[in-house]
Parts: sequence; structure tokens; C-alpha cells
Amino acid sequence: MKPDIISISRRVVTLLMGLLLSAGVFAQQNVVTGVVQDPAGEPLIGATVMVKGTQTATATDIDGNFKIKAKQGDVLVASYVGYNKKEVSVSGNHMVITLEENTELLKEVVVLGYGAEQKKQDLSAAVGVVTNTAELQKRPVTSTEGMLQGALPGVTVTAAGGDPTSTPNIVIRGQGSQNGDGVLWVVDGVPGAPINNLNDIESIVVLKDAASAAIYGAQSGAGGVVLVTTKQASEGRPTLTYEGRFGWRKASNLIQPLNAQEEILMRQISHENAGLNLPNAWNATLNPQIATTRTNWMDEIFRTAFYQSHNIVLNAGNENYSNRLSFSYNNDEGTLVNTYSKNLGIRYNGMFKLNRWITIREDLTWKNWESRSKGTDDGYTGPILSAIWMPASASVYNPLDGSWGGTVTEDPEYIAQYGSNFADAHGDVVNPMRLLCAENRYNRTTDLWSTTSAEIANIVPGLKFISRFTYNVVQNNYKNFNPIVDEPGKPNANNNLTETNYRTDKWIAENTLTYNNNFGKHNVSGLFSVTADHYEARNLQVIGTDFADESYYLQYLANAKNVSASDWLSGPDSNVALVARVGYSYADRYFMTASWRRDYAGRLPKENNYGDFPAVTAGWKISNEDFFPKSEALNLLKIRGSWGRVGNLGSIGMGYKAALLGSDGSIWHQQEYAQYGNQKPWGNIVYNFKSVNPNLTWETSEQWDLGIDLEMFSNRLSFSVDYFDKRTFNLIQYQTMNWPNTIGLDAMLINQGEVRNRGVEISATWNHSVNRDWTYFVSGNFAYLKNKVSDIGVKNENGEPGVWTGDGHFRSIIPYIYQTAQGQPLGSFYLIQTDGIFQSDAEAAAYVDKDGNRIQPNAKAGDLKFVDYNGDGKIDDGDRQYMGNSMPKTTFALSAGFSWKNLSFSAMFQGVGGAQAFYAGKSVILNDNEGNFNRSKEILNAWSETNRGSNIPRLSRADNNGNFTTPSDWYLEDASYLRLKNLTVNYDLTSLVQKWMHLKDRGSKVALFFSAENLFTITNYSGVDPECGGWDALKYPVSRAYSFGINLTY
Amino acid sequence: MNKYIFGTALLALSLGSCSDFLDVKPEGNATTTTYFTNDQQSIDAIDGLYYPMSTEGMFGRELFWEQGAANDIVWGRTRSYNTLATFKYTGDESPIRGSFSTFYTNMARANYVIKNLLAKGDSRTAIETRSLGEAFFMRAFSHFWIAHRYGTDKLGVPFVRWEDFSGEYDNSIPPQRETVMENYRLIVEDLDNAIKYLPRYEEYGADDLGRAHKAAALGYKTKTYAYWATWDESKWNDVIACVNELETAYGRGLAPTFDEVFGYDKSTWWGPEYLWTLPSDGGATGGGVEFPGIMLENKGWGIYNGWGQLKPSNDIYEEMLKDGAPDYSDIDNSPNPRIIRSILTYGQPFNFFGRHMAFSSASDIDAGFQVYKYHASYGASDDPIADGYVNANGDWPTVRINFPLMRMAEMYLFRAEAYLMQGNGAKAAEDINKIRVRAKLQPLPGAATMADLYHERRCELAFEYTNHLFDLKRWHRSSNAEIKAIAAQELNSRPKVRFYNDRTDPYSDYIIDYYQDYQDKLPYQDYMMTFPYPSEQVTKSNGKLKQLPDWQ
Repeated sequence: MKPDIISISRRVVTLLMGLLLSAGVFAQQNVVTGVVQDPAGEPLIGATVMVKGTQTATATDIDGNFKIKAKQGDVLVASYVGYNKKEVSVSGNHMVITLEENTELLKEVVVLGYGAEQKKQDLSAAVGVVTNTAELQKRPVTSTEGMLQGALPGVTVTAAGGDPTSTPNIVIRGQGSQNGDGVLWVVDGVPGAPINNLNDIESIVVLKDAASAAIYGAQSGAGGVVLVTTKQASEGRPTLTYEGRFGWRKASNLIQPLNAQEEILMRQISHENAGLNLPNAWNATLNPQIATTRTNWMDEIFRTAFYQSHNIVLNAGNENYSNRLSFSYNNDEGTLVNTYSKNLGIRYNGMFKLNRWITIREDLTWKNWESRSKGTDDGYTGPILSAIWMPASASVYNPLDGSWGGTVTEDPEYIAQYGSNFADAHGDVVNPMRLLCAENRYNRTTDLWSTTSAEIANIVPGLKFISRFTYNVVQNNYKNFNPIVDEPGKPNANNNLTETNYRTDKWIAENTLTYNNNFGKHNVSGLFSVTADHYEARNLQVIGTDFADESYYLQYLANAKNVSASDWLSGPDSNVALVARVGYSYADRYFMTASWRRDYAGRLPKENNYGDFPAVTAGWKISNEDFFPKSEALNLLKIRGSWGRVGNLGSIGMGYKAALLGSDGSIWHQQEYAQYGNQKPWGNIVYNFKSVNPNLTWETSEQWDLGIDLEMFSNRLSFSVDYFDKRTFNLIQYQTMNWPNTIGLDAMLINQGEVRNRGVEISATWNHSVNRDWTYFVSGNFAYLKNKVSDIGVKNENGEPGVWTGDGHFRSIIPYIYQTAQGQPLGSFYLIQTDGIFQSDAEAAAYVDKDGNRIQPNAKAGDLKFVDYNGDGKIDDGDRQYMGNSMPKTTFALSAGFSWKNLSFSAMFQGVGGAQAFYAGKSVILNDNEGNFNRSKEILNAWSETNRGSNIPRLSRADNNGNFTTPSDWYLEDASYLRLKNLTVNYDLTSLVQKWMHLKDRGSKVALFFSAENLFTITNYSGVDPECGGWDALKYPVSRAYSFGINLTY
Repeated sequence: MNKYIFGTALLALSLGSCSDFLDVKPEGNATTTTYFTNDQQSIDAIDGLYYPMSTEGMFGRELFWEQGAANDIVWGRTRSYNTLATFKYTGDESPIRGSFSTFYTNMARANYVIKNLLAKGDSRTAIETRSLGEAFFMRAFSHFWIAHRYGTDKLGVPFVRWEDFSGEYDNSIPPQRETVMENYRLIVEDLDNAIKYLPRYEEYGADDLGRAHKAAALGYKTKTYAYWATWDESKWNDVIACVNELETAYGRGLAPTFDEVFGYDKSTWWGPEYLWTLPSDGGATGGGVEFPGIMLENKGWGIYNGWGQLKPSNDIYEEMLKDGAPDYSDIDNSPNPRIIRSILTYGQPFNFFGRHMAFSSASDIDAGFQVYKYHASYGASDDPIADGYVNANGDWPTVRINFPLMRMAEMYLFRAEAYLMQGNGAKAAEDINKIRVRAKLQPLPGAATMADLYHERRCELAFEYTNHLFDLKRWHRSSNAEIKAIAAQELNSRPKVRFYNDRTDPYSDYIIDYYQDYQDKLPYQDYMMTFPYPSEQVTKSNGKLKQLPDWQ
């Protein structure tokens, strides 16, 4: 650096320092003190006081006092959560600032999609709002669906088990579709956008009635729409927030398999009862290996799983620009060994006000996730089933060489001594630890979303134009190496490597014009929007087989003997929609909205590719009428009604209109192909299987809703009741009636039938701040739902209503179990009724028809008695009866909590009533007919002469009475439950840390919390967990979880 | 700002015409109306017809369980559908329910190929003409398996030909034909078309052997006529004519040895006895039918993943024993080599993965025997997996074998039966003796009787997909009192097996008694000739698929 430059630099620094010093001198002229309080005179602790237009700010202490440097004439801005911001000019040295309570519950604005919003109190549609997200975020749940469980009446969330990679199933106001209602998630106005971290959520709005969801038309799914608003960049000085959680989960109520001795006993009994000789392998003298318990497989495959979640947020901004940056990391281990889901995310949100007319917003989300799971529903190699089936005498690892252990020993000395290792004893069962761990997998996905919007406003009063463009790219790399299996007796000398890459490209463009203005007592609003979207995904799969060396560093395709590749395109898909909405209200008493949407779908044949979705709502705030007496006992009385229609585009696959041929060239199927002459495997196979219905249109759901909202006792009690009647018609399904398999093509998709869901939802919340230190709340919700098929849409040959057949078979043991008829609920169980267990051979023999012939000729004592429903003297399909479905009839939740000074506590009970589940797993864990597997400990409780009270049919190798193969209600169980879903304790340490002046000035906050999930469950269900979605083939169980967390704001 | 220009353009576009934007077309697969533009497309569509045959749901295993109602095999392990073995058919037993649908799927896929290739007329290439023949053959083959298992003289089975529709097929439910004879007539028509369009197998290059060919179609024509003859005895003339033609026009005869038919040596796979097989490679690439592994000892004595199912009964063993007791000390010169090659019994020596073993079977339900017919590959070398004879994947235990579904020996036995039905025992004996001599057995001393035919058919074709149970069922309908009585006898008895004192000792003592599972077999009645249709299909057909009266 040259000397003259140094001297110039020095001069500049001196000048700057002088300026700063002089500013300091002026600022020191006044120190203003004061107190911030509420209208009752109670001090407000931690309220922010700021000198307007500067960075000078402080927070009030435990007595509401503040001290700030300001001069006369400055304007102080005092703010506090839940209170209206107040600006006061500095006058005098001690100021008393009284903040008015912001009756937030009354004024809260609810977003309704496409930029439309309305004050909650003015809503005329049935909308569920979740505002206590800060509380819910403390719960050890990892999905938004999980967060919603029990939060709102009529929103039924059912955990799909405890798999860390799966999300719970959500149904709004009853299932209307055979194919699932496909609830639409809209995040900050963008359908399908991701949520990196639950802490990014500001609020959730569930559009429950069709009138409010109709603005999303065919995209909304017949179920409804969930709108998530995330935290946005906001005005304020730079803040840093950290939220961290550490927790652990444990599966409870697991099924215990028999130990080695018990398995031998069980097998002896089952052979004896079937009149079969016991094979040598089960004679412990001939095969002593089986008599020693070496492994509790259930303990091996389950673990205490840890999880952690971190979220760091930086925010800074002023009225012209603001930025928010958040980083998040979650590592969620599943309770099954080697299952996990890890997420790393970054989200940027920024606002730039170019001038008074134009505002640009950008939302950029990057998410990287890595996951591993294992399906447990598979009736052959589900790891939980395998952990029951695997003999307790087997070892996880082969003691001879440390490889994966098989069912029997490979010790040559043993084989020499006993003549065999009796590998046949245990059948086709595989080491569940190998199932979970042996494969070497890499599975990472990157998901990038960018949403840019430009808003033009303030040109014509009330008129706003927003143009928004979203682009999304998802890329996945998957690599899975499947090594040779050398378990004794069950070898697979093939290894293979599968590599998959895909990239999806999606864009959504939306141009919206909104208008909102008051003319005297008249408020008028309107919006018009045009949207278009496009999607496609490109996929590549390469499979290499026969690796000579399995070392991890050689698991690359170059080392495979054979390599085959395939690629395919998913989509393309494109949609266009026109949306219009008008709203009108008068004198804060009468409210009306109407909307209309037209959807065009590229997946449907052109002649038939559009649909219209209208909606109207009306509300009357009676309490604002002049004739209505004003009282503290009844603050608000509003009645409202709505009608609308939504569609379910998701019920139709992309590219539906093309009659494509099927093809399959996968090397997995080539293994099954017979071959031509010279070892030449077949290549691609092509077949005709599809029949296109040119008239197909989406499912449509039409819904009436009537509701009453009440606020009582100085707004302490809020109470809402809704009645709804939802009619879903043009149901999409594969044709069953009139499409037997003799046609030979896959059944055609048709619009057929109508389902009605009617119900009542009640919610009530009591909030009371007793005094400064002491507040409490009690809140409950309840929903009753009646689901039935009101029109089956098909006639039998005799003119009577037909049925929809369903499937649901399990292994080759249980045939189909579902069938739906008119007047019955959707997805009805269609089963043969049982009437207990025959207590004696005589009783079984006495079960005869009118001619004296035995109805169950093979039945003996201990066998199930089946009801001959049609009275034809035999038990067959004609005896099946409709037995309801799996959806709960009632759902309810009750929460209560209090906060005392810095401590707050809340608990939530959640439950369902009238739900049923088909426990298919019983057919292979309580039945010794098929396979030589180990079974559940419960099997020893089976009926016997000395155990007559049992409801498990007798233990036998032969099942001549069809105890287990008859699709009977023995499998059907009441899956209603009540559980302590959550318990949370929060301790606020803010007053402690604010003793440090620096933190106090910044308004820093600290809180610690503890939360526990699924603490206990009351249920009659005999399986692991009643929350299995109505079908239980040993699902990945929901686990009990505990977590500690911390919230820091600097 | 590109995005906004784009957005604005979209606004204009969607307000005007958005039909171009919405006209998205899937890529990657041809549509039903843009196919058959080149030879490879025909080849791929025909592969789609062959593919299901070798799967587990079909000839891999499931179609064999029903043989449990005859006395040649026992299941070996408990299964959940005993009614298949006791004549208490429900129609919903998973093995027959699944294959019912697969056969119809295959007929529809064949229909699609036939309709499109027929429409090409004279512009068909040689490969397309062959493919048309293969499609006719596969439609007939699938139709045949449905027809005899579900149709009678009272009611036929559903069948439709898409080429009978002037436009596209309208997806209507295929009509149930008046009688099964009408179905057999349509099958023969399809097979005649197959013969017209197919080449002889000798005309195929090495890589195409195993495809349908003229003689295979003629073979199934023979079998169709033989089954048809249950209802119309005049068809026996057609049986004789067809077999004559197989001999004269197609040079079909018997392989020099019985062994060769079930061998792993590919050079002998396409000999004179070959008619229709599922060629299976075993080896690292797998491929083929798992049937040999199904029948292998459960867990293969700890060496390979056999499944231990479908074991021979004492009845079939004793039936075969009538041709002479084997001598294991001198296997090469033993009398009755056919019994040695067909069934493993206790103490019998055999090679398995390089080991010389004596048979015993400790696993599952006592039977005392194992099927040996498809076993050669396991003993082919010291490491048959590495050498490519046996599939490396024990979950799909295929071996190298030209797995026969129909071979010339069966044709001779049909002709013999036809002669017997026409009262010509001498001519029948000629055919039966061809087989006996090849099997190194004593020829019949004079004219053949129905009992001779029964014995020969049962022993020669044991454990093959020739459908022994259905032979018994159709014989039970026969006008010939002798064969009817024989069939009734087997249909109404239960299989016996051998119970060994020490099951792991190849030289243990044994007693003979009834197989212990499914002991509640019903007395046979003629309505049990067919299975009832799967109840779900009856429901779905909405009255268009009628259950046979006795099954209602």
C-alpha cells in the first residue's frame, strides 16, 4: 500500500469516527424511562419498545419497566404479542404506555386461497384453523399430518404405522372415494410445495367444506384442501432463533414369539391334533439344536430410536425489504433397526418493495433427504412377520464365520453327529436382521422449489395484480446393492446392484387480479385468476448382476457381469384453470361469497377434459343486529351456510387418455421366463391390457354445510357446531360388476355410484386468564360421521342394485374380504359371521340344517362355528354379511392445559370410536397350518379341553374346518381407542436470561420444553396398535416418543 | 423477467385456445393402435403370451395341486386349500382361482395380436405370419385348459374371438358357449389356423426353438379331440388321424431313451418326441419353471432350497412296481429303469451337488418318496449352480430341463385309447408297446385292455402336466365299463404313503398307511368333473357367467 493512500484512508476513518461520536453525543441527551401495561394496569413483561426510525430498542423487565435513549419529540413504538402496536411521542421522562388487547381471535385473518382472505369472525364457510402451531411444534411428531391429529373436528388423521418415511393418512369429513380422497396441500399458495421443518409453519387452515375448497376445483381432491402458511420475512432488527429437539422412541406392546421350547411344544400339539406324525426335525433328541433359545428376534429388530431436529432462523428487515433464512436438519430414526429419514433444508424468503406500486417476493426452498425403510405388510418377507417366524433357536450371525445366520446350524460336526442340520424344520423363513441390514443402500433426493411473485398494487384503490411463477426440480439418486444370501437351505447365489436416477420438472404459473374496497357499509371483494401447470419426470434404471467381489468399493456397475438398463417418462401432464370469486358484506352483519372455477386437464380425452366447480356461502352475524341485546354472556352469534363442488383429479392417472400397451423387460421377470433354445432370455414383453373409457371424468364432491359460531362470556368460550352433507358422485373405480376376468383386459375406469358422508362436528374452547400468573384452557372437539353408498350405480340382472367387489386377500390363506353394497359404508367388510367356538364334538355334530345334515361336517371341538346366514345348510360365500368398514364413526380429542408464571403444561387425549380393523396377521401367527414357522406366544392360549374360554381356535396342523381360511369376522376387531396422545411441559427462562442487559435490550427469549407422545392407549384391539388403517398384517407400529427441546431467540 | 413474459403469454394462451398445451402425449410405450409396425413388435407381443405359462401361478406349480384328488401324489406339506384334494371344490381355492384369470388374460392378449395381424392381410412379413400362428396357438392352448376344467355337455365356457367384430372389440363379456363341445370346436379351429401360419419347429433357428410350431398345434388338436370324445365318441377317429399325421407328416416318434426326455443335455432337447415344452435354463440367468425345485426335498438336505411339495404316493410306486422291481446295486442294467428314473424311494442312490446319497426324507408330512423325473440337473456336476444347471436363486429353483407339457408318448397313448374305444386291442397294444419297449419293459403279451392303457398312461406320464386327474374324470364318463370302473376305483380311494420308523435312515423299516392330511375326501360324482367358477367372477359377470347346475 502506498503512503498517500494510507493517509487518505486515515482521514476517512477519522471523519467517520467523528460522525459516530457526535451522533452518540446527541443520543445521550435523554434517557427515557417508563412502563408498559395492559388496560387493567398489569405490567407487560418483555414488551418491545423501539425508537421509531432507528435501531434503538429495548424490552420491558419483569415489572414492565423500560429505559431507553430517546430525545423529546421522538416517537416510541411499543409492541407486545397479543396487543396492538402503539406509537407515543416522547414527553416527560417517565412514560406510561397502555397497550390495547388485540382481540386476535376475533380479528384473525384467515387465508382462503388465491390471495383471498377473510377475518375469522366473518367467515361464512366451514374452515378449520390451527393457530396454536407454536404449541403443536413442541410435540415429537415429524409430519404436518401428525401435527393435525386431534386438532380439528372432522379432520381424521390416521397414522400409517410408525415408519419414519411414511406420513399419516388424512381424511376430511369422511371418505368419498374408493381411491383415497387425496387431500390437497397448499403451502403459501403453492400446491404441493414442501415444508422443510415444522417450525417454519405459521398457521394451518383446513378448508373443510366444498364451498371453501371449490376455489381449488379439480385439484382439491374430493377430500378438501389444507392451506399452510409459513413464517415470512418480517420487519424488525436482525434476530437469530434456534429451536432444537432431542428425543427417543420405543415401540410398545410388541408381539412376543415363542421361545425354542415353546415352539417345540406348539408343534407337537399341532401335529398331534391333526393326526400327523411329528417330523424328526422337531424331536429334540434327534435335533438338539432346536431346543435352545438363542435369540429374541423381536428384541433384535426393534430398538430405542433417537431423533433430533434443529432449526436456525435469521431474520431482518424494514418496511421496504426483509429477509428470512432458515436452516433445518432432522434425523429421525425408526424403531425398526436401520430405518430412518434424514432431512437437510435451507429456505430463503425475501420481500423487496421496489416502489409504492411493485413488490417482489421470492421463496426458495432446498431440501435434501435421505431415507431407508422396509415394508412390513408383506405376507412373505415382512421383517416383523419374519421376526415371529424365525425360530428362537437360530442366531443373528452364523457363529462359524460371522455371516448372517440362518434357521439352522452349519456346523459340520453337528451335521456329522446328527446326520443332518434339519433345515427343513423351519420352512421358508428368512433372517429378519438380514432383511433390514444386508443391503447396502444409498437413497438421496434433492427437492428445489422457487416461487417468485410480483405484486402491483395501489394504482386503483383496492385493486391488486399478482403474478406468480413456481419452478420445482426433484432429483433422486438411488443405489442398492443386494448381496449373495448364504443362509443354510435358503441360498441365493445371485447378487445385484440397482441404480435409479430420476428428475422431475414442474412449473406452476398463476396470474391473479384481486379487488377489495369499502363503500360505506358495503364491502366488496373479487378475484380472478388464471393458472397453468406442467409436470414431467424422466427416469433411468440400471441393473447389474453377478458381481465377483462384493466389497463395498467394488459395488459399481463396471464390476457386474451383466448390465441392463431401462428408462421411462412419467407424464407429461398439464392443466389449466380459470378461477373467479366475489365477496360482499354489509354492515358487518351479512356476508356472502360466490366462486366459480373451470378446470381443464390434459390427461383426459379432449372432448371431455373440463369441468366447472361453483360455490356459494352466506353468513349472518345476528349479534351485530341492532335488535340483538349486547351482553358479555353472548359476544357473538353467527349462523352460516355454504354449498359447493370440488373435483378429484388425482383419481385419474396422468396420460390416462392414451391406450398404451403394457411392457416389461425387467430382469426380475426374465428369471421367470421360459426361454427359447439357446439360453436366450426373452427381451421386452409387450401386451394389451388397458381399456380407455373416453367419457371418463373426475370424481365430484358436492357439499352442504350449516354452522353456528358462538362466543360467550367475554370471549372466553368459543363454540362451533357444523352439520354437513357431502355427496361424492361420479366415483372413479375400476369396473367390477359386468367386468369379470373372462374379458381378459384390466377392468376399465368408470364413473359409477355415489357416496354420502353426513356428520356433525362440534368444537369448544374455554380460555381464561385468571390473573397475570395464571391462565388455563380446556378445549375439545368431537365429530360424528355416517358414511354410506347412496347409489351403487349398477344393477344386477334381476334389476336389483349390484355391488362393488373388493379384494384384500392375504397370502393364499384369506380370500377377498371387501365388498360394498348400496346403503352400506364404502369399503365394507364382507365376511362370514362366527358364533364362538364349538366346546365339544357333540356340539359341533349337533349343528345341523333343517334336514338334519351337518352344516360344518369337518368341525370338531375347538373349531369356529360359522353362521349359516342364508340357511342353505352349508358355509360358503352365500353366508357373507356386510360388517361395516374401517373408518371411525366418531373421532374426538380433549386438550387441557394451564400456564402459571413461566411454566405451562398441556395434555391431549385423542380417540376414535366405531372403527374396525381386519387383523390378517392372525392367520399366520395364531395358526400352524401353513409353513413350518415359529408363531406368537398367544398361540399356546388356543382353545383346548382345558382352556375352554379361549377365542383362538384349536391348534392344529390341519385346518379342515377352515378356521383360518374362511373370511370370517374372527379376524375383524374393534379398533376404537382412546389414547393420551401428548403431554407437554414448557418452562420459559426469558426473565432469567434477560437479567443480562444486552439480552434484555434485544428482547431475547429462552424456553425449555419436554413432550411425550402416545403415552398410553385404551383399546380392545388385540394387535400391536389399533391405528393400523383397518388392515393389519403386522404393520410398523406407532411408537411412544419422548423429547426435550429448547427455543432460543437472540 | 422471462418468467413473467411466460406467465403473461400463458394468460393469453389459456384465455384463447389451450388445446395445444393440454394435448400431452405419453412417451415410451406404443399405443394399441400404433403397434405392429415391425417384426420386433410382433415378437415382443408373442413373448407376452408365452411369459405367464412358466410362472408359479401356472405351470410353475399352482396348476398341479388339484392332482391331489387323484392318487399319484400327495402334497407333502399342509396347505390352506384342502378342498382341492377332497372334491369339496369351492372354486375359490387360490391356485385355480388365479390360473382361471391368467388363462383368460392370455386369451385376450392373443385376441389382440390375432385381430391386428389378420387385418394386415397379405402385407404380413414372414415373422408376422409366424406370430399370427403363435397367437392362434396360445389362444387355443389357454382356451383348452379352461374348457376341460370348467365346461361340460350341459354348459360350455366363455370364449370370444375379437376378429369377429367389425370394429374394435367392444369389451363385452365373452359369451358362455352352449356346450363344451362348441368350445372344443373353436379350439380345433384355432389350432388349424395355427398349423396354417406356423412353421415346423425344424425350420426355426437355434435361438427360436421352443416357439410354437405345427406339430405342437397338431398335438393339442389330438388332445382336444380325445377330450371331446368324452361327449362324442366319433371324435376318436380324429384322434387316430391326428396321431397318424404326427408320425407321417411330422416325423414324430419316441426319443431313444426315457432318460433323454428329462435330461439337461441341450443337444437332445429337440428330438423326435418333442412336441411342446417350457425350455428352462437354470443357471445364473434363471429362467423356466420352478416345478423341479418344488418337488425337491424341503431345503434339499440343507444344501439347496427345495420346497418339499408334491410327493409320489405309495399307490403310484406300486403301480410302477408292477413292471418289475428295481435293482439299485446295478442301476445301469436294472429291470424297470422307468421306476428308478421317476421316483426316489428310501435307500435309492442318487447324485446331488456332487454328493452320492441314499434317499431318505425327514421333512414335513410322511410320504416316503420324492419325484425324481426332473432331478437330473442337481446331480449333473459337483457344483451345478456354478456350472449353470441349477438356478443360483433358491427362491426361484429352476433347473436346466426342456420341461415337457406334451410329448409324443402321450399321443401314442391317446391313439391306443382310441383303438381300444373302437374295440381294436391289437392296434392299441402296438402303441403301448412302443412306449414299453423304449422304457426297457416287457411288451404286452397280446391285445391291450383298458387296464393296460390305464397302467401305461399312469406310469409313463406320472407327475407331468398331462392331467392324470382329468383322465380319471373323463374315464368315469366313458361308455367303456372297464375303464369307468378303474377310474371310479382310484377316484374313490385315498392315497397311501410309507411311514418309516426312522425317517432319516435310508434303510429303515416302514409301514404303509393312508396319507395323514385331507382324509375327508367325498365319494366321486360326475358333477365334480369341473371346478365351480370363482364366486367373485360369477358375481362380477352379473348373470353372464353361469355356474354349472350342480355347483350352484
